[in-house]
Amino acid sequence: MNTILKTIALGVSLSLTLPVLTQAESYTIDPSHSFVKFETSHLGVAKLSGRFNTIAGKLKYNPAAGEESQSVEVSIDTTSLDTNWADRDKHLRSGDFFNVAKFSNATFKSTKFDGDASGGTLTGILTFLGVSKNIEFPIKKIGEGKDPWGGYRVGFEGTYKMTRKDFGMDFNLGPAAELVDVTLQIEAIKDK
Amino acid sequence: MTSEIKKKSFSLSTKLLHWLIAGHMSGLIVSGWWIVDLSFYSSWYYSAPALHKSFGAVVFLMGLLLLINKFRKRPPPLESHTKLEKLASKFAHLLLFASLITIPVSGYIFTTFTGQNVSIFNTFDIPAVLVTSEKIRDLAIQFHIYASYGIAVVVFVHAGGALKHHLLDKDRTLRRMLW
Repeated sequence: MNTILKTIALGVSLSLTLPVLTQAESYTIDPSHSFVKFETSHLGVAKLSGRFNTIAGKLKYNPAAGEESQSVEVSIDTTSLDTNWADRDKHLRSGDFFNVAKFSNATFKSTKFDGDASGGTLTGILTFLGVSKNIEFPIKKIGEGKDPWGGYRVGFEGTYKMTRKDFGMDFNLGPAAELVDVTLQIEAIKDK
Repeated sequence: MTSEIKKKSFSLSTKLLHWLIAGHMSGLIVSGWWIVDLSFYSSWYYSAPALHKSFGAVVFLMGLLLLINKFRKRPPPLESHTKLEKLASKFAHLLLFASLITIPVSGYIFTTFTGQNVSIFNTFDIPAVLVTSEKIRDLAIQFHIYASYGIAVVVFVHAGGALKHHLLDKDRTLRRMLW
């Protein structure tokens, strides 16, 4: 009797865990704890930063399964840009910069990951202002673990040094502001 | 000048306001068109928008005063005007008054969107008390652009009408706004 029960229990637990082991670990970006920030120089005198308030995306994270199973896909609503100065935001939203009337979205889709559980180099396609470019940038894991509300979370941070004019954003802000540091700070919750 | 003619003229304050507003409006429309294309290195990059806002606040105030005058001191339309002319001018005036109020307000909405006050001639601030949604802000930006260019057309129709009365009909339409 006891053996039969044990066998059933084993069978049930196997059937429950096996699908979990085989499927990719997929996560959804938590927009309330994720930020896409951009920072550039103001005249070489100081730094200016802004962010996009609305982002969404998915990631696959399962370091045990190797580099192949790590990927990320982020969509950024460029109309949500915010530099905490209305006049500048208005100018940035115009055709001189983000042209949000025409390109309300920017996306990044990774194609390759080189690294381990703590981070590495992410390669992928950034589509911004209608231009798609293959880019790569370093990314590191900030942490992961159970949250107090029954979920499982992981967070990453990475900065891509963007040359604005590569994407056709060539409004002259001086030599100090041709490069923009675009920082991706994402936290994602494991899908159930 | 007989007192009869004088009675049919606009009041001194109306004349002053009218011409001051005419000058301000033209300046604001042209400066707006020019400001959006200023380069980052233009010496006007900061000062021109600041002045545009300050004069915008002034024209808003003058618009309100002129509106009060319109209800209090307005002489009747000239009898020589046709029904159609009276209707057309009424409609143009409605648009001009509406723009005097709404264009500055739309500018105020998007310029204070992130909570910054509007500095008037660097002397005092109009506080940002009407922070709205992004949708309203975007609408205000579009409105500010299209209403301004639209009202420029109405200004030409309005001035063209006055010149037509002055040069062709040879009536007092324009003169009663001058003296």
